[in-house]
Amino acid sequence: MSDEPHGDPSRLARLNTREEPHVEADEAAAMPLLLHSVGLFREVLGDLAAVVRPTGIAEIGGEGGLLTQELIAQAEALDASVTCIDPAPSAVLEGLAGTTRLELVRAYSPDAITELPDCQFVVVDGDHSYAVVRAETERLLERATAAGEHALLVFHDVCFPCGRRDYYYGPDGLDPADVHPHAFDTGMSVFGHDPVVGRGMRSRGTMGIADHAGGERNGVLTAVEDAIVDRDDLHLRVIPAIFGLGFVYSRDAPWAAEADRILEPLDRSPLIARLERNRLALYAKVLELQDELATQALDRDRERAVWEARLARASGADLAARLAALDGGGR
Amino acid sequence: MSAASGAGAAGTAAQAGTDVRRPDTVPAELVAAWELLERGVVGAVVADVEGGATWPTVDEAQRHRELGRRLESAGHLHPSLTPESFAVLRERAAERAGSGAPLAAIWALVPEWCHPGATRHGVADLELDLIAGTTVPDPDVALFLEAAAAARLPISAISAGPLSADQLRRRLEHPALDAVTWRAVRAGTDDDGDAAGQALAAAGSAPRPILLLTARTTTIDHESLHVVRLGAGPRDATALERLVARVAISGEAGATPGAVRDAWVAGAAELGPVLVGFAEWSVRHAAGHAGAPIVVAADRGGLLPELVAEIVRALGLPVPVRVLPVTPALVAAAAGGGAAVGTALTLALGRDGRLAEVAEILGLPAGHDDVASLATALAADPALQERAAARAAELSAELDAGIAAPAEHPGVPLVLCHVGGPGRLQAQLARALAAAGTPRHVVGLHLAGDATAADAILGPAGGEVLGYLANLGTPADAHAAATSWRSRIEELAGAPDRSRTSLAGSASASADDLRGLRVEAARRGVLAFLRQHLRLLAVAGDPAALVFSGPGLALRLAASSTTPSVVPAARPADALDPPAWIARVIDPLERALTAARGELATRDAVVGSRAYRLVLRLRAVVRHLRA
Repeated sequence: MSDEPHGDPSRLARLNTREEPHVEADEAAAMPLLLHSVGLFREVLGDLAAVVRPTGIAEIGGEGGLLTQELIAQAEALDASVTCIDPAPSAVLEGLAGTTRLELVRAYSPDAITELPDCQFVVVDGDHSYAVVRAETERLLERATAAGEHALLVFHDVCFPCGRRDYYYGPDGLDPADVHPHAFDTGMSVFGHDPVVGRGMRSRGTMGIADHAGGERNGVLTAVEDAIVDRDDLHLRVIPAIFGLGFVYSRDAPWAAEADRILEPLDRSPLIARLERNRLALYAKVLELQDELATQALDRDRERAVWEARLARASGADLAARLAALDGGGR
Repeated sequence: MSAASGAGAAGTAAQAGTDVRRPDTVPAELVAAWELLERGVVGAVVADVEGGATWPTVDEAQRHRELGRRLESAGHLHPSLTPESFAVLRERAAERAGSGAPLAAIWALVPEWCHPGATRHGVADLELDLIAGTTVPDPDVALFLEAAAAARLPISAISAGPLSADQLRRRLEHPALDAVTWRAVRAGTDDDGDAAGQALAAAGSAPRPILLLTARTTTIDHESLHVVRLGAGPRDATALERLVARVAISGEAGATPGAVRDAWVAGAAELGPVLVGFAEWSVRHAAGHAGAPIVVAADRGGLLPELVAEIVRALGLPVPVRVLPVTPALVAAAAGGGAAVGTALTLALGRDGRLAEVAEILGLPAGHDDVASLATALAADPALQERAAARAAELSAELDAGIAAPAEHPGVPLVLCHVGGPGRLQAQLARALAAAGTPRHVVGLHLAGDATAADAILGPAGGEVLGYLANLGTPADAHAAATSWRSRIEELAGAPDRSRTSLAGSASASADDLRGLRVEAARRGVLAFLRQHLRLLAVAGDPAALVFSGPGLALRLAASSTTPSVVPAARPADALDPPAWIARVIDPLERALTAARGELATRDAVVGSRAYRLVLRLRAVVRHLRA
C-alpha cells in the first residue's frame, strides 16, 4: 500500500478533463439516488485491512452483498477467512457462499458470534437497536481479549437516523424492557424530529422505528459508547458520511498508529459532515415531493371517478332519451 | 343486468376515529368490503396477492418467453435454444416440480446448461425481477387497502404461488401500495392450507373479524372471517382480462339502456382492447421516430383519432396528431398529377380494382373497364386530361398540406395509422408523395386480422408496413371479433367512407336510428375501456396522466338532439374544479334525471298508499260482482 495516494491513480476520484469534460456528470447520473452501503468506504476499509492484516474477517448483516464482496476481496488478498452472520441471507449472499471463501452463519447475532472463527476485522451492520449492538460490541471485545488479540470493529449507522434512535428488525425477539415504543409504518426526515406515518425515509414495514430519539439506551452510537465506556484504551472514531461509520480499536494495537493516520483526517470531519447533511436534506426533499405527487395523484383519481360517474349517468340518460325519441317516431 | 356499483356520493364513516373515504365508483365485487369498512366492523384485512389483489400483465407463457429473451440478450441463453424453446423447458420444470413448489425447487429442475454464465440463483433473481415488473396492483383493491391503512387496520398478505414470503414482499413493493405496511406475509410455500386458513394464520392475534380479499374458493367457514371474492375469472387471468371483465359490469354499463347495452359491452369488452391497443401501439411507435407526426386515416370526429389523441395526451408524448380522411382511391387520384395522367394512374392503381372510384374523383367518364382504355380516352381528349390533372393537383396539395412535416424535422418518417387492409394505402401514399416532389419514408400501421398480413415492406416505394394483430395481448375473443367484425370495426373507428371524393369535411354524428345508436353505444364502451386502461397504466407506473377523457364524449352528448346547445370540447382544467363544459352539458341532463326520479317516487308513493290499495280492492270486488 503506497503512503502517497497521489501516485496511485486508481485511488483518486476522476475529474473532468479537457478531452472528457462529462466524467463527473456521468458518474453522478449512474449512481443510485441514495447511497447507503458500507461498501462505499472500500478504500478506507481496504487500507485498514492492509494495516490490521487479519486472519479472520467477519460481517454481521450481509444485506445486498456489496460490502461482502469487498470483504471477500480483502480476505483473498490476505488469505484470511471471511464469515457473514445473517439469519436470512439474500440470494446474492448464498451465491457468494457457494462460489467464494465466504462462510455463512444463518443465525441471529449476538448469539451467533460464538460461531465465528477468530476475527480481527469485524463490520457490524445488523440490527440497529441499542440492546443488540451493545451486546454485539461487548461480545466481540470479550472474544478479542480472550484470544489475546486486538480487533478493529466497524459500526455502520452511528449517525442520523439510527445513531440515537433504535430501529428494530425483530422487536418480538427482544426483551420488552429493551424495546422502546415504535411503529413499522413511519419514516424519518431531517425536516422534523419525530417519525411521520407514511412519509420520509421509511422501512416499508421491514423495521420498526422508535418514536423518540435520544436519552439512555437508544440508538447504535449510544450502544457503542456505553459498551466501551470503561475501556480507556479504546478509540472511537466516526466518519460522518453515508449515515456514519464508527471505528473502535485499541490504542495498544500494533497497527494503531497506522489506523490513526488513516482515520484522524476523516474523524468527525466538518467538511464530510456538511456534505452528508446536505445529502440527507436533498433526499428528504425528494421524498417529500414524491409523496406529495403520489397524494395528488390519488386525489385526482378520486375526483376523476366523480366526474366519470356523472358523465356515465349523463351518457346513459342521453342514449335513453334518443331511444325514447325513436320509439315515439318509429324505428 | 344490475348496475351494482357503488356509484353515488362518496360514503364516509368513522373507523377508529378516522373517516373512510369511499371512492365515487367502486367495482361491484368490492362494495361489500367498503360497507364493512365504513361500518367499522373489520378488525384486520388480509389480501391474497396472487389471488386477485395483484394482476399479472402477461400470462405465464409470455413471461417465460420474455425471460428467455432477456437471457438471450445478456448472452446467457444456450445457442441451441430460442426464447420459445427455453420457455417450454421452464414450463416443464414447473410441471415436474408440482403445484405449489417454490421457485428455487422449480429452477433446480431446469438444466444448468440452458443458461451458461448465469447461476440458478441469478436466473431465479432475474425471473423475480420480471415478475415484479409484470405485476400491477388491482387499482381498486389498492384504493381499498389504502383506506384500510388510513384506518390503522393491520393488513397482511397471503399467496398460494411459488414465491417465498420475502419474494412476495418484493412483489408488493409498488408505489400504488406505498400506503400499506404489511403486518405479515404468508406464502404458499409456507402453508398448505386454503386461503381462509392462511388468512387466519396471517392475521395472528389481530382483532377479529378479519376481512379476506381473495379470488380463491375457501372451504373453511369461520365466524370471524368475512370473505370478499375478487373477480370470477381464471386465477391466472391477465390484467387486461380482469379489467375487461370489470368494465363490462361497471356502473357505466348499467346506466346504458338495455336496448343498446350489448353493443356498449361489446365495445368495452371486445372491440375496446383491440382499438385501444392498436391506438396505443401506433402512438408509441410514432414516438419512437423523434419528431414524426402520426396521421390517422379516419374521418375527422371519428373514434380512432379521438383514441390516438387521448393516448398521446395521457402518455405525455411529443407526437403531433393529424387527421386525414384518406382512402386508397383518393391517394391514387392525387398521384394522377402531371401531364401523363394515364401513366400515373396505371402506376398508382396497378392491379387495384378501384378504377371506377378514382375516375369519379377525377371527374373522368365512367364505363371504362381497365386503365388502358381510360388512358386511351384521356389521350384523345386533352381538355379532359387537363381537368383531371388539375383535380389531381388539388388533391395532391390537400394531401401534402395535411401531412406536411415541420421544416425543423427533415427526414422524419410519416407514420400513418388506419383501420384497414395492409400495404395498399401506404404504398399509394408513398408514391403520391414522391410524385408530388416530397419523397417520404412512410411507416404504415394498420389493424391486421390475418397473421400473414402482419408485415409488408414497401421497398422502392420507400417505407414499411406494420400490422397490429388484434390478438396481441387481448382477450381471447378479441381476435375473432376483429376478424369477423371487420366492416363494423371500420365503421366504429370512423374509417373514411370509400365514396369520398375529397379530403375535406368531417364525419356526421351517428344517425339517430337504432343501428346508429348501437354504433354510438359501442363507441362509448370503447371510450370507457380506454379510461380504465389509462388508469391502469397510471397505477402500473407507466407515465399515463390521470386524464379525464371526457371532452370527446361531451362533444357527442352536446351534438345529440337532446342537449340544448353545442359546447366546444375543451381540455379539462388542471385544477380540481369542475370544467365549465361539465356544467353546461351534464347539469341539464342530471336535472332531467332528478325530475324523472321524483316523478317515479311520487308515483310509487301513490301506488303504495293505503287509499290506492283500497280503491284497487273495491274495483276487484265490483268486477267480481259484475261477473
